[in-house]
Amino acid sequence: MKKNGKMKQKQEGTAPADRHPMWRHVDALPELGMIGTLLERLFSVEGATTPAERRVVEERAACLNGSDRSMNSSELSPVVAKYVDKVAVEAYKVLDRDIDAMRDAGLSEDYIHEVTLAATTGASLARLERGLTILEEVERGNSQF
Amino acid sequence: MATASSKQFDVYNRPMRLKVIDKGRGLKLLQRLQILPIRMAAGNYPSPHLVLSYRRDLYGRWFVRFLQRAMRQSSEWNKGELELFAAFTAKQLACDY
Repeated sequence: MKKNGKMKQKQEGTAPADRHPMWRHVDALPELGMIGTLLERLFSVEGATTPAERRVVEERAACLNGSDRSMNSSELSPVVAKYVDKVAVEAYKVLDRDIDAMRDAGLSEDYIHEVTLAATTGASLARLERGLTILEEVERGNSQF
Repeated sequence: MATASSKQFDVYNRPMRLKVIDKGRGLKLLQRLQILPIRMAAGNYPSPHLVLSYRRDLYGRWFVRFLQRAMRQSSEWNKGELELFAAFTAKQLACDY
């Protein structure tokens, strides 16, 4: 877990506003360490999309799944935003024509792949975060559950 | 979150897959050698494996490790219970499992 330790230091060095909210849970639960690694890779590796674009996509997907993070989607083109919304909320409805619309807009398959990964990560981690928050509240005795 | 219903699917459109992933472009020789016999025997290869194999350094490698940790190394729940949770969640999201 030496690698995770380095990554944690790197995340701790970032401004609190930029720190992904999942890190609070990763710090508390060592079992979630690999999520920290996954986030670090997703937001640092260069590809068809920039890490900043992936971050925007991830935030948008998280907000659509109940996260209270701020959503800054102005950098996303309408076709990408529409696709991200579909993947984040009703992924089972994604069809060939959604991918074709992205291709028609001149986006490469690697771009679509990376946007999909960022959107699914945002959606799933937002749900996980909500579940972990409920568990915290139960432990504190503040929950209705 | 809305629960998915099978009626909401467009039956005239089959599920899509990106060609770069389907063709295994960018896979290493060892990965290709692993996939080839399965494709020859079964006619296809499980799509989740292809997704997780494509550009592993970006996502698949880390996600697989997390999956292994969550599904196989849990101390609180046994494998059957974990599989049941996963199957129920997949059902709610209208995913094949």
